[in-house]
Amino acid sequence: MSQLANNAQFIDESEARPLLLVGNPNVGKSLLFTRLTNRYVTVSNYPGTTVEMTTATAMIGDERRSIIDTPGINSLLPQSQDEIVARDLLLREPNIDVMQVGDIANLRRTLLLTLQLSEYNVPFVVALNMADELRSVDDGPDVTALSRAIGVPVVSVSALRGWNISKLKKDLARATQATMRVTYPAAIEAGVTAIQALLKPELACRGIALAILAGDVTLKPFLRESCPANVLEQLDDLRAIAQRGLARPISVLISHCRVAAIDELLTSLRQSSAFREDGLRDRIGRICMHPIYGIPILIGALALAWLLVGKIGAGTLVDLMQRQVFERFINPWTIRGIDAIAPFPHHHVIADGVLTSAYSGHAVSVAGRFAQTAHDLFVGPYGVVTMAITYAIAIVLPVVITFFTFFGLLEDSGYLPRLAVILNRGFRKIGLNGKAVLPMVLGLGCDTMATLTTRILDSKKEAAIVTLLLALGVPCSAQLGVILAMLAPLGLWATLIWVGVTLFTIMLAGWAASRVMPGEPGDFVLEIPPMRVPRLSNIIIKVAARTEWYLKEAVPLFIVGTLLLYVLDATGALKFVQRALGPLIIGGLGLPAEATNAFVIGFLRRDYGAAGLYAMQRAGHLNPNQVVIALTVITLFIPCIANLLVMLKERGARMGWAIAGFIIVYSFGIGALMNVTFRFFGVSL
Amino acid sequence: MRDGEYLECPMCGTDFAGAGCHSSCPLSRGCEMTRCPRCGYEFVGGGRIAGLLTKLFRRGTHDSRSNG
Repeated sequence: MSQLANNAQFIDESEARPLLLVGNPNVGKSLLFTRLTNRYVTVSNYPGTTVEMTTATAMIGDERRSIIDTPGINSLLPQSQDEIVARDLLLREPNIDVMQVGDIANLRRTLLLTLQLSEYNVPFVVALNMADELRSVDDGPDVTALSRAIGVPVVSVSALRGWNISKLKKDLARATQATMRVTYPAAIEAGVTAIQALLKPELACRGIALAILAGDVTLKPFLRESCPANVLEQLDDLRAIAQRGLARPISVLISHCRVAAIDELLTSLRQSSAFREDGLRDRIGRICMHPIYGIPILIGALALAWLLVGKIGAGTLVDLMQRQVFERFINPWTIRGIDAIAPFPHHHVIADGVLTSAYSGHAVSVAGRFAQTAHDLFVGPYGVVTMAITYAIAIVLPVVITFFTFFGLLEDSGYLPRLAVILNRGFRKIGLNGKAVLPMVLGLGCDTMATLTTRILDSKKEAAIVTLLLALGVPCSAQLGVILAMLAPLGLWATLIWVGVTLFTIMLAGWAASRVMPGEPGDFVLEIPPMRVPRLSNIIIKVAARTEWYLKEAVPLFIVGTLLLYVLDATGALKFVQRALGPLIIGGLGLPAEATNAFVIGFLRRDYGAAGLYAMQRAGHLNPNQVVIALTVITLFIPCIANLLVMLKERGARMGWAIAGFIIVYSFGIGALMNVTFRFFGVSL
Repeated sequence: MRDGEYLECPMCGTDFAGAGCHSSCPLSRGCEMTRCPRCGYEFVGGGRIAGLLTKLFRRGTHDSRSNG
């Protein structure tokens, strides 16, 4: 008995054939489900998983049928538990009909799933939802022609407005197996035929055979239940034989053939009607990824980042927080409070009418020394309040909030995955393997996590190179925000130098990677969701979530870094460190000795180091040349302590430290080279 | 993130529930990051303030979204 049928929560076996709702994410499946069903809905997890399924009943024709709403999926070659569950339902329940719900304005995406359903020999109908979003009926596809091409009923509906729901219910009774077919390369077709001959007749569909050939590991548990061991071995052999005759991975070839077949179908549909599949959103989406037209859009996005982060965040908001809130209220109040609680003979410096954390005088008695220690711990030059909290809340927070707003706009508009495509193109040009590109793109979210994804790479060498590339040249979103904020007041040339050196580093490391891991550079596969207008409420929620996360993760490390500096200062070790690093910081990079502190705390989090440099920049302790040098070094520096730990864990202590050592030497080496070059050519930014 | 709450990956558009931060990350305990099971993109899935704001924005609207 099937797993589905075993679960009484989903299906009442006394009822007629259940109906499974399948479709891409965000196509209005749940709304259509609500339109079709009554108000008695059951929500439960699919057995053994956390995947939530919603079930209800509906009168379809003369029959009361169970309708099961499944999570949005993009493919029946599963890459998530949601997709495994949806695919397993198709495999394990022979007596089921499917209603595929698609977005009428994104037909290409819909039909890619239609094609896969057709290969599973499952009876289905297609409901093209969101018909109300079309400007006119002529903008939609000719559903009769489409129905003829697929071989199943196709209905255009609007779940939102209730259009064509009764017609859809009628057509659900006519669910049938599709007739559309794709012809794959001969080696794959031969493999499909051979696999179908080995499988039991009820399993011998093209969908399962293709999944086996594509190396779908999620299918293994099902195959082990359904086939004897000798058949499983033969299936592996057939897959190996098919792959031997092909230059590219079978999964990639299958994907390419499906896309080509759908494109051909869409072309013929355009010729047979006034239908234009490419709506405005699709056209904008394609322009964003265009090799030439995409560049002005990219520049526009960067200009928006500069305006939001550089001008509003780093300019107006940091001024407000640092000068007005912290320097006028929070820090003076805290200093006076600590002075009252822990008094000892000292005088605070008042600069421009503002009470600062710097002071003269010292304790002479034992009690006074305790008081001075408590004082310095909170409001000294390396005090938790006057340094850690001030940096975190007054300097970094306004910057990251504005950057998170910008990043939220990128994500919610659908531009981020298109940016990934542009980046992929750049990486391909330097010969980087497609598989190595994904961790680089993911690094924009979190470098540490992206380092973990290097596990997908085939060899230790590849993983080491990409780990290095990630740590060197891909700042995470929060760090990128602080770096952009520092660049904002410097002007175009300084920005170009920083961008140039960072890109040069990525290209150099990428070139090295391409020597170590040559091969097909095009295996970067990413589902591209449609473009859309970002919702303000969604952006506000995202910014709040990210800011809360940032405060939880970064502030404790800021405090640890400050305590480290405090201990080093109190024990006199900081002067020793500054003297020891003097030749490098002062001589090599041409920075003041005080910049050493920024690099010390930069070990914990690159953005904390950048915040220290930013504070120096705002205080006028760094000239523009020094800012660019310091910023480049901190950009190329190890991202954070978590990243260092993951490098050691994933690559082993020896390789991990070797990578960390290289990064430190390289970043300071590049900084020193920039300093020498600026001096030699008399560059003054 | 809260159990059963569906999130949409900003990178590939996949809706998913039940995923958390990468457990191998040394800072994963208590981390609000959520990893898309499809493309691996990691993003902040929730938090107290975000939860309150979500409730606030959804108040008065019938947001019955569950699966897509």
